[in-house]
Amino acid sequence: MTTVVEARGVLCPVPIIRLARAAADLPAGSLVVLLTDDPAAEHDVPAWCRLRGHALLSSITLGAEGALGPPAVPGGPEPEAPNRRPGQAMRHLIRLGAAPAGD
Amino acid sequence: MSRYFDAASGLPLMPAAHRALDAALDHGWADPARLHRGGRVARQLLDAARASVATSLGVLPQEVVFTASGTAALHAGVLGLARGRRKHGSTVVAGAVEHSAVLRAADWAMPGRDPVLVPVNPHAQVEVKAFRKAVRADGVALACLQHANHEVGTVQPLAAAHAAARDAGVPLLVDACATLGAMPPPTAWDVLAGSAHKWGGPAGVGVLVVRSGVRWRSPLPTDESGRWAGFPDVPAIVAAATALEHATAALDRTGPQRSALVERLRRQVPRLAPDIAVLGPEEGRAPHITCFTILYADGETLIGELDRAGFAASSGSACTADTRRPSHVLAAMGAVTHGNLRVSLPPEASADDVEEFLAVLPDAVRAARAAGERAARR
Repeated sequence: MTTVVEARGVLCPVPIIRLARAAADLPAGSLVVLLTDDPAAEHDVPAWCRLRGHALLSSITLGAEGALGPPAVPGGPEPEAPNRRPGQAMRHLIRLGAAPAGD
Repeated sequence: MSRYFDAASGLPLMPAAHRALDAALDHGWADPARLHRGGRVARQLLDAARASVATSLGVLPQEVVFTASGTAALHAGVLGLARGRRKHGSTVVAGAVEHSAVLRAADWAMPGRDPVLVPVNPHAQVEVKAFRKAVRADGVALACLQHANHEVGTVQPLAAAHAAARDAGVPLLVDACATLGAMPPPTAWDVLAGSAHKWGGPAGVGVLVVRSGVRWRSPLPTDESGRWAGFPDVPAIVAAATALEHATAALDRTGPQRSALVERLRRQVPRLAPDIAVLGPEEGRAPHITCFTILYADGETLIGELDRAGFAASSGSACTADTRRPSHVLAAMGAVTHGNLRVSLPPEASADDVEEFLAVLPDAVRAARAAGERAARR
């Protein structure tokens, strides 16, 4: 069974916190799908997996329709989003390794 | 009193430099290009400051150009080498973890042509083999490499990189903004850039050193003498030279002192709480800069909590940047970019300061992780 962790629409460090929390409850070998649109997640997901001994099997871009950014008004100005900048939505597939203590 | 652990962003004006600035403001205000008494005094002060900076850096006075900031010196260095070498090539080679001022100038120098970025290992150290291969390629105008990384403190392999660049006939610009005044100046370069406010001089003074014989051409219009144009801020330049002299004279003391305190931080910080990683190599580090990954911590909260406890530090995490983008340095290293904490010690940092920092850090980490947890539950 694959556990899906939704982390679109949230910024660092939240995607990794949600991923770590899901990983803590699952046995080694479990598959986790993490959905993100924070530009920092692009770097943090592989870095965290390496640090934690999990295998990042794939990271694919979902395209604009996959992002949960603020709705754009057709023809209007870019919506104000001071606290977030919608990145590309991505789907990361992770196979958990034997989680070290602290996860 | 607040403890300032953000030396890599800039230091307060050194007292000796403050006095030199005051005196030079009174006497060195006139145009050094004029032949009247006031002009001659300003000229003498400027020449003496140039000679002093040259001595501190081990270079010739005529090789020293003063600019309006370290960033301006880097821009002038990159663009001037690109101009001087335009018949030879149009590619800029740069380390992947160079300061953004270098990377932006490299982009600007060659419109439509991306610079070739040399990858780094997980300690932020440029791979010499890849650097050698990059400078040997056809059409390389110049190469850029920092003395030490401004976020992690990693010293780059300048001697090997300069030898590789020289073999390929490519001039090497070295960004020493993070290290001048904190380490002995580097010697393996063709063009060198530094920033006075990072060694205890005033803001608004940058230093560009172009070795005699290097094909550098000013990318901007020059003055009548063919040199860098613009009315020089003589008092600030005098203060910058004084600060560099003092910082250089104190290196034997401040170098080992700061190294020992940074080592203490690198040993102790990971023991204060679980899931803290130390970044950068064990050996080959600038004495005053180090950085940590505090997993699951909100960087903005961490810096805010430390500030409330009286400590100024900085972070390369996206949440603390105006751009909301994570540090390209951390990304290039393959490091986690959230929960980043950079500590950079001023020359006068004491063991007591560091112990107090270690005492307040656990609460700041707890608060920053709680902030992350709260955000994750929403």
